[in-house]
Amino acid sequence: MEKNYSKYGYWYILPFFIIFIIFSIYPIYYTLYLSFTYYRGTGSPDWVGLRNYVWVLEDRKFYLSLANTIRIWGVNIVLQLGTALFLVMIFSDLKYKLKGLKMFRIIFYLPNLIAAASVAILFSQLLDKYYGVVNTMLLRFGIFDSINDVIGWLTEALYAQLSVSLIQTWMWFGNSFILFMASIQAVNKETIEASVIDGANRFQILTKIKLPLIKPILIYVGITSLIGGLQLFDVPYLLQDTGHANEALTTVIGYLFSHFSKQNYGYAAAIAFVLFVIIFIVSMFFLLVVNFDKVKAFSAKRQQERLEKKLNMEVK
Amino acid sequence: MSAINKMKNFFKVLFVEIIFGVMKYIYNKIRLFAIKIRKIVLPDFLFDKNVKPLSKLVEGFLYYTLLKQVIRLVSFIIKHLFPSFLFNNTIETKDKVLKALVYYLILFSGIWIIVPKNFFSRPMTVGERIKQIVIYLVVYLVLLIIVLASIVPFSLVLINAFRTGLEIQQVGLSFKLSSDALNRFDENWEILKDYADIPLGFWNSVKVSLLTTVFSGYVSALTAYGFYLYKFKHSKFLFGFIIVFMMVPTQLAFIGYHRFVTNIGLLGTHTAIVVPAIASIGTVFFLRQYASGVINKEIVESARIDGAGETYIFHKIGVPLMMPGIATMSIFTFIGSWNNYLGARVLLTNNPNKWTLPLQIANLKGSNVWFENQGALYMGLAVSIFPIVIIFLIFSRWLVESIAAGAVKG
Repeated sequence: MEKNYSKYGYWYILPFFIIFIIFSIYPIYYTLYLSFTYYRGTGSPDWVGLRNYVWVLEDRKFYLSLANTIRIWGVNIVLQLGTALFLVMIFSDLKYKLKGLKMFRIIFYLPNLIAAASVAILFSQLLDKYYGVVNTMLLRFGIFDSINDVIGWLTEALYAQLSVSLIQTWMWFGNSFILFMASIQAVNKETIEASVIDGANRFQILTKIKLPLIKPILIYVGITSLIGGLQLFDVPYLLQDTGHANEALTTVIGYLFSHFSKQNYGYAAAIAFVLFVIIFIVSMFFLLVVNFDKVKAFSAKRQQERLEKKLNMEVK
Repeated sequence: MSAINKMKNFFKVLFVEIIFGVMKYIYNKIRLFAIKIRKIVLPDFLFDKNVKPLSKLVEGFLYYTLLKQVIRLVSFIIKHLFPSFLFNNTIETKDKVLKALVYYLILFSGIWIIVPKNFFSRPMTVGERIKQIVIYLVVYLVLLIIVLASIVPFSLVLINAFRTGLEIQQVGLSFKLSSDALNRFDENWEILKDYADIPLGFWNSVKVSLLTTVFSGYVSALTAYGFYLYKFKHSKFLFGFIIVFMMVPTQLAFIGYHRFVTNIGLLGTHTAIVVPAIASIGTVFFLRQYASGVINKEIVESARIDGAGETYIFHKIGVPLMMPGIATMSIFTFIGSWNNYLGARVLLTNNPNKWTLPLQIANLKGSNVWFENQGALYMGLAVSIFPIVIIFLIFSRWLVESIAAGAVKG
């Protein structure tokens, strides 16, 4: 009477795989194909081999956009992790026992909810050179003497990049904070209490206990932030036209998008795949670094096995 | 005679006893009430012999000021608020009452936040106490700045929707509203109508987000359930296959997707943006983990013995058990879909009737609204931001917990 139910499993996963293969994997394949062609949207794509890739790798603007992206991401990640770690330090301090953590978590997460498009529009208003709130307030507090020496937050290249970094930080620090705080709270409090009794000071507790404890999640946040950061698009793209720092705010996807808008599909696809390879290498590298101990242990184990085999052979 | 005297004496004694009894009863009641009041009004440490007198004095003073504020608040409310219902008070008093209420709300929430739980009961020297208070003040000042930084932009959006463009350019950072703010609100709405069809955008966004959420939730639940419950051939390989694609930034392939959608004639339709979002790897992965925690295989087994069909079991046992997980992921799916800009920009640009809110908002850039009627612009932002914020705030505790749970597992 035993009936084999396992074949029903295919029916359950079928819809997902149909959609996934048609609407996710096929477009990836098609993008890869387009990257080897010259295609302007009309007629059929002409196969040109690796020419697009050669052009991408010789394209000064591509490297410029990559540098912009990395610069924006670098400042962002330092500020974001710094803020989140500072908050974690305050909230996990046993002596202060701050109240209202749940409320603060919700408040800090709020900026992450807004659409990046809305964020960009909002901040391009707030950061406007002449009537933006930020410059108005700075003038009122007397940090700038007159309207002539205000900073154009979105018009000067360096400040524009800094602004985007700050906006990204504003959007994401709450997320990092929640993740860090959760991983700290999962840790046994007695460990920290014992170290306090042993006379460890705050700095020692931070560097010797707390940071190692949240290291995995720190790296996780780092990787996801880097993968997301390399694909940065919405905020800088929508801040571009309002200011005049267009070149400084062109990220890789922004550059790709400009070619896409010009219907230069083959070249855009090639840029996408170069970026894809960069992201792949970077995340693999990070994964390797994270699991470095495991890799080391694994290779050591294999070496030992080999040695044992050799010994066995010799014994035989 | 003696009998009468005896009776008289008896009643005398009874009378006295009753009177004394009543008096004693009242006295006791008052005493108990006084003790109760003392317990409410006076803190324990005043009667604690271990606490030093000076410390007692300082804390007593702190407590006294706090109490005074409470009494002032109560008397203020009684004085001003109650007559305003009975008599026809001027608007000024109402304003005053409102201001006072806000002031006290801030004061008490501040005290509630700053003062630690055991502040009034723990014996401590004055120096220690002062040091503690200073540290708390500094820490909370920093926190206040961060909290303000994350809230002020929201409140600016809301308040600026009630202002004209000129006002916004002049006032800078201020939360005062002019007297005819409501009219301004209507004006802004009228102006905004000329530049963007916000109701249409709102409807499109709701449609896209809801369809994505429902389909993605159902299909993901189906897939996760299938992977968890059935040990079919290659199931591990197939699961590993989609896990690998978790690392792949699939949205980078939007060029190929755009061309593909154009070729099959779906460009500029909501189908093009909803369907790929249905197959969400993250949701499947999460629900697979979730299912292993909540679905007991023995229940499914017994349901089979009772003669239930597989789809019936899935809908009547699997889905209800996984519902909390599905709901959590659904809210994140909804937020992500509501905020999706790149996808909408690539797929819907050519068809303005299908534009979602992010596209509508982004399209305001460079128009007249941008330079002159920023009030209308902020109005559009408010429409796009606040539905999400409200949904998040309703489910906030749940959602934040699930984000945090991801950290502990990962």
